[in-house]
Amino acid sequence: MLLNLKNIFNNTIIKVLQFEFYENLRNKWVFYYSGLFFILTYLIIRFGGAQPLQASGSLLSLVILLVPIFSLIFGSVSFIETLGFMELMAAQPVKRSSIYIGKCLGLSISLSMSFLLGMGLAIILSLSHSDKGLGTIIMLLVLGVMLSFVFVSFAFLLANLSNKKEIVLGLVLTIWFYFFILHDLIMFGVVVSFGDYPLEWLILTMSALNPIDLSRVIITLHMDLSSLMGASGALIYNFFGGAKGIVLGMSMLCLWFTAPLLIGIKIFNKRNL
Amino acid sequence: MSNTNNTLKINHLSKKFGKTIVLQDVSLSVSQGSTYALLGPNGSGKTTLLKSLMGSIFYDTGSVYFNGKVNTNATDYKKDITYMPQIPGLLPNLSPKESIGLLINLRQKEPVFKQQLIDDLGIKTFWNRPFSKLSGGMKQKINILQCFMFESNIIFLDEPTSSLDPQVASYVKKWIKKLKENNKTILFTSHIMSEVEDIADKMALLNDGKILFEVSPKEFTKKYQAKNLEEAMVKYWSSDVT
Repeated sequence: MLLNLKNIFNNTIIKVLQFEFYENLRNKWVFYYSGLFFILTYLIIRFGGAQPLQASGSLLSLVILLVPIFSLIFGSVSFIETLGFMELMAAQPVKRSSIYIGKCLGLSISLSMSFLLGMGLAIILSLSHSDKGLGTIIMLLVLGVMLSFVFVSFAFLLANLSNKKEIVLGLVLTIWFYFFILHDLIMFGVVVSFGDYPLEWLILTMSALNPIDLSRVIITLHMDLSSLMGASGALIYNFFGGAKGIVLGMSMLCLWFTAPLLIGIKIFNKRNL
Repeated sequence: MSNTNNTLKINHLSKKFGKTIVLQDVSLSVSQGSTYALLGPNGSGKTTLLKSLMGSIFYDTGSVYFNGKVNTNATDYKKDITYMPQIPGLLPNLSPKESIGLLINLRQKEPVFKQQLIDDLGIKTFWNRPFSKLSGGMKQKINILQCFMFESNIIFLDEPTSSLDPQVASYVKKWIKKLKENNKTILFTSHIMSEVEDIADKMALLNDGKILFEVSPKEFTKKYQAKNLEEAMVKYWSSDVT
């Protein structure tokens, strides 16, 4: 195994995580992020009919638009701007992997808290009179948190590939463009071109290869509106049913966090600081 | 292979960045309690050498021995080494008090000189201010603190007095002398010849990643019949070029 699980959550990770968390709590961009979610969520619910199920679709669009792009940009910039301190930490008798994991988790938790605070507070203020659709809203919040972890992990991996901020930002935007736009276009192209053939497993696999798509599918399954989400949602529903599909989707999202993290650690352990 | 007389022994160290050779077959020894200066023009490989010893940069070939033991364990050998980078970097939104607290936590060692350094360098006035709000000089003082607050046997300093006002630079030089009196081993880089003359027992001149020679500053000055090390160095480069 790449890492011994027993050694993963050691003291160093907890210490680095704590300080990274405090560092980001005082970052104005994390505050703005929270504020942006609060305002947009509040406006969507207020002017979207104040029906939780109606608002969920728009809120999902907000989450899958903002969380990945902000996590990618903020995560990569934060990584590059604190390379000097990482060098100092690496000069102490601690493992590099512990520094990397602590920093990644600390930043992911900060962004998740900021997202939860912004969106959660707006939801509480707007929907306190009704508990209909609360499950969907909670699922949306959980997905927002999971996407924060996934894309911070990705941001760290990409930030490991170069010391130059402009190159890393280029990579980050390319990845975001791929996951947010290009992947769906490719899927659409496949469906249109090969619609006469049985494509179920191909489409399922393609959906699993995009964390943003996975989030869409999970929330769709939860709302039991798979037909609205096109081929992939309907297929997963048919194959796995609602609950099984959700568990499978969540597990895939966990994998989307773990895989870039482990690859990132491997690169960071050999990286010149 | 080991060498117990030398606290630090570097054997045939080489490093390339892409096609650029940064260190080329570098070998040197630093004995316990001595102060060793690495000199050379910008880009000659001084910082890369220090970073290679700290494990911040991974060398391609060669070996490094600390206290006679080959440096194979990636973390344990750092327990007795402290390092001052050229450019200080702490977490921008945290205060020096917090970031230094994390470094102490990670090292798990008593910072015996912390309070003395805070008092002497006047750090108290900006101890709780975010690091990003500090001036270059203040940041450099924090850099001095993080390096000197622990009692370590081996100390690596990358241009320790550059960008410091004369008063603080003099304090750092005094501290280095004090460390030397306490039998600590110091390896530092510098462009300031008077500083090297003042504190170094031995020096090496690096150029294009190669060590051109190792000599004591006094011997070098004498060899070139110069008034001081700076003049000797100028004479050396002039004769070398012609």
